[in-house]
Order: sequence, then C-alpha cells, then structure tokens
Amino acid sequence: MLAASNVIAREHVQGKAQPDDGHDMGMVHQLDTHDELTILYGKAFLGINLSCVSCHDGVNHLEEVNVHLTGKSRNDFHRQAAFLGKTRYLMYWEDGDVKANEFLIDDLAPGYDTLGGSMLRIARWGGGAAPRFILGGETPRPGENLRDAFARILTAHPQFARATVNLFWKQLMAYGIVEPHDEFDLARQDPATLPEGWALQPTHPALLKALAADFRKSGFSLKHLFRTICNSTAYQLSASFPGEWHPSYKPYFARKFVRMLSAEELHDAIAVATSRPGKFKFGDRTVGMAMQLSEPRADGDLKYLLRTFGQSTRRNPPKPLMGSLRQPLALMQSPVLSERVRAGDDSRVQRLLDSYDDDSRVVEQIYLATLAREPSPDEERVALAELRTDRTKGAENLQWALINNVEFFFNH
Amino acid sequence: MKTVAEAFGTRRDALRLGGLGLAFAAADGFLPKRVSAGSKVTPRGTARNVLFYEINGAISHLESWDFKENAGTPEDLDVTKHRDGLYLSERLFPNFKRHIDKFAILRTLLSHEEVHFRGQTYVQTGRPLNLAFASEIPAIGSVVAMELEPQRRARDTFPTYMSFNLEKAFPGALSTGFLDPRFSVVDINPEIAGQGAALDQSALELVEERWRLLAKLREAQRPRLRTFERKMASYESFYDAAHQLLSDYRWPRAFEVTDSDRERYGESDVATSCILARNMLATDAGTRYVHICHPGWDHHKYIWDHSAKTSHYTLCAEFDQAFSALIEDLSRAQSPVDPDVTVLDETLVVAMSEFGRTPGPLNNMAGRDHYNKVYPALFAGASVEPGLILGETDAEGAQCLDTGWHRKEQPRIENVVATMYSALGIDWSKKVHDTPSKRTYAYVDELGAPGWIPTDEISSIYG
Repeated sequence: MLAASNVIAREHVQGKAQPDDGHDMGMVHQLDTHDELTILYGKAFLGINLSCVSCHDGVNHLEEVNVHLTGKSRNDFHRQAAFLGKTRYLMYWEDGDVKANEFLIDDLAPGYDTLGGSMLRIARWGGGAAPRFILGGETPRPGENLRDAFARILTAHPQFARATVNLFWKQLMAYGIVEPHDEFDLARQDPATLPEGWALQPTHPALLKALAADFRKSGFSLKHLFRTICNSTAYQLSASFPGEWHPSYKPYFARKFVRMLSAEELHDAIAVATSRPGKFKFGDRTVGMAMQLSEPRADGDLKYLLRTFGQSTRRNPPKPLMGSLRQPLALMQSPVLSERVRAGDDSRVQRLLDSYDDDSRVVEQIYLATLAREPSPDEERVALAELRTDRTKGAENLQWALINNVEFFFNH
Repeated sequence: MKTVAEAFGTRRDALRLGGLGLAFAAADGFLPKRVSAGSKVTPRGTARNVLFYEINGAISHLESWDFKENAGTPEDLDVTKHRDGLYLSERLFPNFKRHIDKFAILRTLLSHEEVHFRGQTYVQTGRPLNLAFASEIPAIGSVVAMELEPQRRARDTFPTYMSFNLEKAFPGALSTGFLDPRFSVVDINPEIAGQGAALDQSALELVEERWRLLAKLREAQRPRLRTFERKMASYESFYDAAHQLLSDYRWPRAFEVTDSDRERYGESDVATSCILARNMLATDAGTRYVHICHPGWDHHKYIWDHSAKTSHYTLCAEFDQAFSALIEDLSRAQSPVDPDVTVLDETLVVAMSEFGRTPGPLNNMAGRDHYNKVYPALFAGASVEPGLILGETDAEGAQCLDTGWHRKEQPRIENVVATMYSALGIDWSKKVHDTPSKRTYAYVDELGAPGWIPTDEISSIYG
C-alpha cells in the first residue's frame, strides 16, 4: 500500500514485476492475449471499457451507451493493443513439464498483426498496426521498448489519476463519483463540452478533478489518497440516517452507504472477532489472514465459504458481490465458523469467559469484539438469558449469532 | 441500439411478465419487464427437470463416445463393438455399457471456445464470455429458476437451481447476472456434504438453537436496523429462506447417503454429487435444474498413466460407476407427480464437456490438448429416443462429416441450451431488452459467437 500506484501500473504493464495473479492463465493465443490485456488495462488503469471496440467500431453501435467511444474505431483499439505487439507470453517449462501458472515474457514478437486470426472475436480486418495511445494519440519514442512506452504514456495521462481516485473512492464510499467505475464516458466529464441531450457522468466533477490533481501532486501515493478520503466529512458520516431517506439524496453522499464485505474481509473480520486466524499455505509460509494472500488460496470448507461470498478465482471476471440464499446457508452450516467461535484454545470467547465473572461484561465484550458496539438494553437482556442457560455454550452461540448478523457483514 | 433481428424488421410480440409471486423481497434484484418472444418456436415441454452433467476440463471423445483408434490409443482399453456404429471400451465403461443404450449420442458439437474458463462459462451461460457484459449474464439455471417460479408450489422450499461441485469449475458457480438474486444457484460442496459434517442431526440442532437466539437478537435490533439502508434489513430475507430450508425435514433427508449408495456409486466426490442430485429430484421439493460438475479431465499430460490420480482411466472409472448408478436409479424411481412414468422419463439428462481433445498421436507430454472442432454430447430421458447415434466424424475424429441434425452447420452449446429450455417448456426465443447495459439479452444468442448461428433446438434426439 505504500507503493505509489503509478509504479504498480507501470510494473504490471512493463511486465517487470512477476504478475502472480494468473489472470492470463490459459490464454496463450498471442494476439488475443494482447487484446484481453488491453481491455483489462483499460478497465483497471483508465476506467474505460474497450471491450466493445475490440470487436467493432464505436460508431453506429454505442450512440446510446458511450459518446466518447462512438469516436473510437476497432483500429484505434488495435493500435492500442499494438503496444503489446512485440510481447510474447511463453509457457514456462521446468524438468520437462509445463508450469501451467507461469509464463515467460519477452519482446521478440514481430509486432501486432491486424489481420491475425482470433479465437475469441470476429476476424480482424486489417488497418494500421503502429502503436498509438487510444486516449491521447501518443506514440513510442524512437527505439523505446513498447511496453515501457505504454507504461510511461498510460501513467502520465490525466485519466489514469481520475480512474484511480474514482476506484478508491468507490471502494471506500460504496459508490464511485463516476459509475460504473470502469465505464467512464470521457465525453461527459466536463460541463463546458457536454454533448447535447446528455447529463454529466460524474456526480461531483469538481471533486473528481481536485482529488485527481491532489493524487498526482502526492506522487500517486495511495496512502495519501486513503488518508484524504477517510479524513473527509463525507466518509465519516454515520450509516444511520435519522430522517426519511429519499433516493435523490444518494449523489450527495448524505450518509455512509453500506456495502457487503468481500469474502476476504469477511474471513479476516471473523478471524479478528474470534481471535482465531485461518491457516493459508502460501509458499513456505502459513499466513492467518486472507488479505495477506496475493492470490486466492484456501482448501476444503474454507475455500467453499470464501467462494460462496464471492472470492475471485482470478481467472474470470469478478462476480458481482450480491446477496443470495447460498451465503447464509453456507455460513450458518460452516464448520469453519463453528470452530472459530468455539470456547477453548485461547479463543476470544474462552478468554472473555476466563476474564470476567460478570456475564454482562462478557456480553458487552463479545458485542464490542464482534460488532464494535455495545449491546442495547434489549439485546443485552436476550444475550444474558442465553448465557444463563449454559455459560460457555451461550457465549459461543452469541458470537455465532452476531457473526450471522447483517450488521457484521455489511460495512456500515 | 437494435439487434440485427430488429433492424431487419422482424415482428416481435411484446410479452409482459408480471405478477410473479415474490418468494421473498429482493435485496438488489431486477426482474425483466421488457421481454419479447418470437412466434416461431414451440417449446416441447417433455421434461419437468433437467440434469446437466458437466465432464469438466474435457473428456477425450476419441476414447469415449466416438471411439477412434489412433497412434495415441493404449492397448489395454479392450474395445468391442457394442452395436452398429458404437464401439466402447469394456475396461473404461464396464457399468455404463449397460446404460448407454438409453442415450442418444450426438457426435458433432462445435465449440466456439478452446480455453477452460471461457468454455466453462459458455457451458453455464449458453454463450461465449463477453467481458463487456459478463457481470450481467445469468447462468442458464437461474433463467430456468425465473421461468419456473410461477410453477413453485407452497411446499417447495428447495432452490429451483442446484449444483454440485460447481465451485470447482474455473469460473465457479456463476451468479444470477441481471436477474434477481433469488434465482441464484445453491452449490453443494460434496467434500463436506459427503462427510455429513455440516448436516448431521446434532449439527442441525445446534444451528436451530443458534437460529432461535439470532431471531431474538434480530427482534431486539430492529429499531436500530431501521435507520440503515434498507438493503441491510432486506438481506435478512436470505437468512429466512436459508433457515426455512434447513428446518424443512426433507432437506437433511436429501443428504442421506446409504452404505448401499456408496457401494453402487463409489467414494468419489462426483459419486456423492450424483447421489445427492438423485435425492433432490426424488424429494420433489422444488429443485428442477441440476448441474453436476465432474472436474479433472484436462489431460494435457500423461493421459494413460495408471498411477496418476486423474488419468483418463481413473476419471472414467468414477464416471462409469457414479453416472451409471444415477441413470439406473432415475430410470427405476417413480415420478412423484405421475405414477405411470419414471423420474428419468420426466428428466432431460445431458452429459458433455466444454470441448473435445486433440485427435491423433499424443503430444510431447503424453497427453491430449484442447480440441473444439468436433465433440460429442449424450442425451437421455424426457422423450429422447434411446439408442440414437447422430452425426458422423471422420476416421480421426477430427472433422464433422454429417452434422446429425436438420442443419448443415454443426450444432453448438447454444443449441443444447435451446434443447433444454424447450424440454422444460420454456420459450427459448425470448429476449430481454431492459438489461442494465441496454444490450438485449437473448435466452439463446444468435449473435454471441462470431457470425450468425441458428438457435434451433436439437430435435433429432427425439427421433
């Protein structure tokens, strides 16, 4: 997190840091891989969705969807992908075996071929193949490595900062200033140049501009960005809204919006609440928190639980995080959760039972450890009755019930 | 934005979907309102259920339902002529040879995909993965769940769409896309269900005890929750549905695996999946679309290595035992709604992979790679004519010679999907126009693959 984000972007595009998330696994069709990565970089680093123009021109297709992209052609896309045209993704062999998750990258390909065959798309139909940045039109310097050029141009473009601050704003605030965060319409960002009949896309254009400028000034420091957003009054508002809420208040960020925890957040929140971390094998190490993993990794019931709550496989587009019957069904039955709340072996429940003779202190502390708040008098009454029946089992049940509570797995 | 069909002026009858009974409030769901349907297709309605058996990672068609002897064929397969047009390995399919005549074998599918996660997404959604819209595309089972919701009876508590072991697939069990989350799959992990760890009586009693506490705490918490966004409180409806399921006496019973089941189906995860799938259909508690995932068939390396845990031998043995026992049981079980027919009679069973494997000699790692130009699928039940062999491939199993249906283009996954919808009585020509991206979602997409493709059902399997 201390790394400035333009370094992350640069290293990924340049291929100098070993990408260990395996999203390109299985895609060894070189041209198609260039196209897929170009779309991925567009979404992740520029907040634009180039999927449409990867198959066809924007004109006569995207008029009702994205004004900016109606001006982009499939050839513009190909020339963007051409920054990767000399890149080769080679299956990595060791001891006579191919290592399915690892690729060697070099720059010895002849260049992008706009007539090359495709496994995924309608046939490429030709056109210029010289690399040209799809937003600013920049081209590589003479003799410059193409991926270096792409990384340099990408991170210098103002949209890189705008997309990044919007993405982090969304993660922290539940809604981006531009939504969807990876479908910016660049023709609808500025009131001065807004096409007729369209509304501005950002809910707060001045805020987006200021955040992006500040992010650039900070040297693309994500830590600085986090701090700025978290220090804002808007971020610190309560999720509880005392009056009558109206949907039209949404763009004003008049309350903290709730969001479901991701699978990793949920696991780690359970680990912290119960003081029982997981055991994820990660190379030679074992780590306790799902967040410590650079790629999804879990076995058996834990894997099942995490996948049910939307853990990515990194091999497919992320599933939208939405509620379903599967989740409570999995969580309520999960042996993992039962084990974590079990009294004994220095679990949170055991420690609290050992530390306090007074049941109401135990109840209070379980509430604080699990929901980060004290129980209301009504809740305390219910919880105390449970502990009176069987102190140990009651305390386990209480923590189980609080974890199976919407207040636990909705950030609010 | 217009679809090609609309641009060419095809008349469509607008059909409003309304008055669907809401089982519980949607948290953040969506129900299509602008739905059009063609007038040309007549859904068959021969099936109450569909059971889709995904041979995940791709079985070699050359050493299964389209046997072709070649330089890569081992000598110990003990291949015999089963009947005209069908050679079968006695070694690999000692049990299934007794059931294969219940199936129509279609040998000529063409896959648009040649890599797993795309291919498996294709199998679950009936269309090639398009990253621009992937997040709004529902799984086929979720579409079925929406379509069949009006048929759910008061006593139906089981999810309409259930899957087994599907989280093991590359894309995992796909979500409902733009459809309401209540049409979601419930995927069962056979590793856990098989041990009974999560579902034995004492575990269920403990869940019930804890549920009672949770319910009381929720009551006490209600005034506080009211001040938060509604989606927090409405999420509780999923808990209510989950609890309703767990407290239905039929649910734990559907997870019972007897010793005799184990003996007949085997010990593998897919054996557990098949036993539970059988139980779900026999229970008749609302489950209508079942997807079983049998992973591990990606035989790039050492396909004939007897010591490998997932060689073609091992996986065929799993398949042979589990799938044969499943078909046997379905063909013997009386339908819960019609005493004159069996569960198999009212269930369309489809077994297939996302593509085939390379014909000819083995590769340099003694395996077979991905091959999408021709590969087979099996169909049974629901009025499918048993014993049909449809389509013909060349001597290498590399090219299609005769497509085996009424068109000169090879059939694709889209057509298998149309066949499943048709069997369930669902009009597969429907299109949803009010999707979040504003792009028309066709139940069977004639434009998903490059170029136009026919969206017909595969009627030749009915003879």
